Amino acid sequence: MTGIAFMTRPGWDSQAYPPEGASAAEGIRSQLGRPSLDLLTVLVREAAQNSWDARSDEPGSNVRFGLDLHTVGPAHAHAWRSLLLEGGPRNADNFPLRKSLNATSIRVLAVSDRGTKGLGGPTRADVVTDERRDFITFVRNVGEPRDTELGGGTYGFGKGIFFMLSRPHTVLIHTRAQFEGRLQTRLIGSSLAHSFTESSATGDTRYTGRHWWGRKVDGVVEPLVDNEAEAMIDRLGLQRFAPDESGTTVVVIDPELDDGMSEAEEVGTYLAETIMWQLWPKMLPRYDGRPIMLFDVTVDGQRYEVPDPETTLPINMFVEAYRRMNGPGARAIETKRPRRLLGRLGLNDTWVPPWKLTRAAQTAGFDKDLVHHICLMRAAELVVTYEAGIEPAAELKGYAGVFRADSSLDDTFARAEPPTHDAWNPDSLPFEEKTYVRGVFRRLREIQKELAGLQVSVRSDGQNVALGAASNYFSRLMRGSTGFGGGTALIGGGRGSAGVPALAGAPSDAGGTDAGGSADGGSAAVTSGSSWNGGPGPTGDRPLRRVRIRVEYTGEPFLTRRNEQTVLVQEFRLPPGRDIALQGVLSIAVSMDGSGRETDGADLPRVLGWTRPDKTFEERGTPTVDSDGEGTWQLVIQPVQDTMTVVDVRAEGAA
Amino acid sequence: MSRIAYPYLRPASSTVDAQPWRLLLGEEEVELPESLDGWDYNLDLRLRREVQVDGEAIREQCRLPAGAPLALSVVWYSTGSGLRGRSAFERLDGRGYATHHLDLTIAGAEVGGVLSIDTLLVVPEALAEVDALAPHRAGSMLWEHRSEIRLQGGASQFPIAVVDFGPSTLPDTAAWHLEVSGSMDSAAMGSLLLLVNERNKAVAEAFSRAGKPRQADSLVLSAVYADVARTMVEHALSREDFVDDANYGEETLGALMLDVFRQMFGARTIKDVRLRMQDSPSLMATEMQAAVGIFGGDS
Amino acid sequence: MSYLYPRLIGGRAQQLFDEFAAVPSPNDLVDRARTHDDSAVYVATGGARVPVEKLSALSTAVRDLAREHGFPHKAQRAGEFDVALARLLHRSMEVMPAEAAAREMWAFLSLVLLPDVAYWRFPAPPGDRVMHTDITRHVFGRLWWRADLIHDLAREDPYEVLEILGEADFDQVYSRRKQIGASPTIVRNLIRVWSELRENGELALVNDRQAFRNTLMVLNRVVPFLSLNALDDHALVGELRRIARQAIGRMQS
Repeated sequence: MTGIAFMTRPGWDSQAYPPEGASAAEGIRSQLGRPSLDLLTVLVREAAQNSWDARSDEPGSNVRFGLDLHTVGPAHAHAWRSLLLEGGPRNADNFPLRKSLNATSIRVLAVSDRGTKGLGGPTRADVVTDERRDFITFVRNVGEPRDTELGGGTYGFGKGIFFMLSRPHTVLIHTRAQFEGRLQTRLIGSSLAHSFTESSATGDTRYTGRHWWGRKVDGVVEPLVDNEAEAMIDRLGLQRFAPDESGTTVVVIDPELDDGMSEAEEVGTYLAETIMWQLWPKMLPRYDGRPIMLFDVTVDGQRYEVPDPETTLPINMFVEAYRRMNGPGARAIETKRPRRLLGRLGLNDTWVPPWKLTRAAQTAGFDKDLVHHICLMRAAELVVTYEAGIEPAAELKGYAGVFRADSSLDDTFARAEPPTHDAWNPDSLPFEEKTYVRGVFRRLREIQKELAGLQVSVRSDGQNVALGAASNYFSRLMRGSTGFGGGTALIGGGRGSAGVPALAGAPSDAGGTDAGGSADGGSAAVTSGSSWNGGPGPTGDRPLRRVRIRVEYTGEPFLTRRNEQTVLVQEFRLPPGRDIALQGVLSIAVSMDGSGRETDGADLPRVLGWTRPDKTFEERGTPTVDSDGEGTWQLVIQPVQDTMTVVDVRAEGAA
Repeated sequence: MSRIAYPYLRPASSTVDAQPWRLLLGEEEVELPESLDGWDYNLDLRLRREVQVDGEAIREQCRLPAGAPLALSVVWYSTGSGLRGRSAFERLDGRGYATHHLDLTIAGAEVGGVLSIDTLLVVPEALAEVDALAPHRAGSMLWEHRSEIRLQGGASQFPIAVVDFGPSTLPDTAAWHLEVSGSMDSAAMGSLLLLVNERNKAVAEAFSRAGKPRQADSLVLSAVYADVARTMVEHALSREDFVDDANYGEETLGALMLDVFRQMFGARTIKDVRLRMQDSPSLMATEMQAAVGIFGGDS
Repeated sequence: MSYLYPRLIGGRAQQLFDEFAAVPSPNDLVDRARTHDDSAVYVATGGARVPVEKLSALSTAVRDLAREHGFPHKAQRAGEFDVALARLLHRSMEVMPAEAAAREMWAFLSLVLLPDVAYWRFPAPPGDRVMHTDITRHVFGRLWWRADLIHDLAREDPYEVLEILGEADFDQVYSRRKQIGASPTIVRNLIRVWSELRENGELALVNDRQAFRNTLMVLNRVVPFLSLNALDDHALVGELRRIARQAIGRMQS
């Protein structure tokens, strides 16, 4: 059934993966990368660039670029739903256009250029021709190098933005161009959604997510042409071309606008101002008679005037700088070794009257109503970016600069640009070219520093004068800011910058402090000697059978010789009691501060035995003994050679 | 509850006696303090102490031969840099009871945070054929004493640099310049810098002697302090976003400016002071002099 | 002359770390690299703030080095890159140890100045690699310290030793930094002893790395009572040799 309908009505055709593979739609869409600018700004820049590159060869004809955001009227909405869903995959997840067209209202953004060549040439990618291949490049091929000399783009990635901006990633392309000696009107739909798999009775089919809308001829979707195209244009309520007009209109279906811009007026103003901030060089009347671009912004039927760059602050400062760049006052920016002209700089160093920081200005990289920027451009004279310098020393002081890379290096700078053409990244270039791009930034920075009136003070090496005391003297002016400096008042919760904790207890020194120990050491037991049975009792409900008994060390452990052997002896006293279990817990001290413990391994110190107060020797390692509370006991240890032994005598008695 | 045992005999603590460390600050010598306000990396620490060692008793108690070498050494460890190093080493070969003078310098560049300084009596080289219980390995510690000094903590310090204004765009003969940059929300420590012109001897010297100022230095410092405070307030008032109900984050330039403002003007509102500043700037300048207590205030 | 570097305080470091977690490729971080961050701070006094030109030059040099080792594609010969980077950082940064011990400074380098290189060297890094939490794990900080602890001005190439001691061995030393590594003298002489033993063939019958590890363990046992730092080089080398031989001997018995 589909086949029959297809013969009479144009419709969608989904690209299945050919056996040799193809790019998935999402991959193609992402060729633009993730732009740092918002999508509308990228669209204005890229679309205008495409239009500029497609300008007509006829002398004196200007390029007219239009943005028209509107809702499809009720008279035409039905036609959109019935005609533009034909033949598309049933599942809206695989074909998001369904969702967009079935919504209560259908929003579209028509991006048009006139005074341009339109998308001419053959319509099939497999045709060999000497003609321009604009249609194929735009509609069929992806990522082809651009052949326009000194053009703005380097790759045909610019069209990706149309698909990115559209929620269903779908556009209609309506163009009129010279073809076989006459103007031909063409209309085709294109969608770059998501790759998907569809199951049917004959098995699963994988689709790339690319779809074309038009008329299928010999297995390829061809655009509707001439009368049929114009009839469709009328039914969809779109604008026809005038009889002798050429150009292109790309209709972005269901465009995604920034969340912040709900009001039509906001969008209109933003688009108009963005055009000025991003495209002003294209708007200036040219002394050499080259065409200029005229802009037209309409939102919901309301026109929004693009401000005049020659009279609007602070762009008029850049316009002046641009004129100086093209005049005798230009500064040549060069590298020394090798000596090479990198480009020309025009500067306008002046007082800046207060101006309003608009959203478009912020997008362009201005964060305050100060102007201390140099606008960078290539031969194509599209704004790459506004490079900010140091803030000027005086509030109303400022400067605007325009730098244009020399056309001999156009290729180098073009390749330094990301797909969105809004920066120069030297890092992606081969060494020699890298030095050119870096050279530009270095020279511009130097100049910007001079302009800011701050040139050297920051650069001069600080003298090696100890200033900590002076700094403390001024610290009252710095309260509440955590210092890293020498003042030693500790602020609660202050962050220690150095982060190495102070040493733990030092190894026991001659003063005889308890090196590894804590407050419950033996010496404490001396002062509270009466509490012989005062070991910490159990805290649980259930009485324990045995409790820890406090041992009183008498003196430091000492080395001596016993049976031709070096032994270590720790003397201690026991409170009176019966059935006291003795245990010597031994380990080796490690690490420079003696705080570490090594408690396993083959060569650990071991208990040789115990000497009772009556000098009898108990050889068992863990004996149970009776004590009358008198005399001195000894733990005898065999230490490991050349190690520090950590000794702990434990005693437990009946509860 | 545990005790630590050395693997060799150690002498009684009475065999060594050490006087406290003395710290040399310029011409002056003080007992090593617990902390040193105003220290920075450019200040090397010059330390002295006397240590009495009874070499004979030590050798006897450790069962070392009479001529066994001993040495005093000073080893430091800095929490700031995480480094450890040796600053003094003096051999006590063959001597009996004697007084030794330790005099050393610890490079400021290598330390920071808390500095521990260990004075050690060690066996300086490996000894063969000694008693089994005697210390015989090189480095065996026989006595040690630790001192600590805190060099850096968390206190606020005002960022200052002494530079030559000559090659800069600042006027050659100016004495100081307060550089304020960044928004009210940028970090205060990164936004302020007091530049002092090294060409201006009177001011440059006053700053280098701030820890121990002469009277002339105190007057200079006080004048600069008052001027810096005033410059900060004026800068703040010149900013539209410096307002009474603003809410600045901790450690931002805004919070700092507000604190200085409060020190100067107490509970007065920013709006009020800004108006006064427009009406009678000279009177406000005088009020601020009083608020910072220039030249010691009531003196 | 030495410089003070900007320090990236904790909250901001965390913020950038969170942001960068979503970035798919180090190449996408090239654009995020900056020589300045609004919330970076400097120590109040003690030197000159590093000029922005020096920061750019440093980042350029590091980036070039990364490129030679495959950036933005998978890092090739990462060990070699680390050694070269250790030299580069230590030679060119002109920073004092106490300043280099500031973890926040390294966070500035990895998250503001060179996020692309940091995330290339350690893709999807754990926080320690790029934040202000642990110098011994930091992508750049650990290398500077590695160079600082071994550099020996007495040698013709002061950094020669970087090549003798592998990353794993160095980690061993470094993880015991507080105990032994904190002293450049000990580290330098330990390495001297180690290469001497290797040349003498004393390591021929044992697993080199295991022997090194055991040596560090023995060393760890003697440092509580032997102050190796108090010794002159001759006595120190003697003790270290004895310690190493003891460890090796134990492996052979």
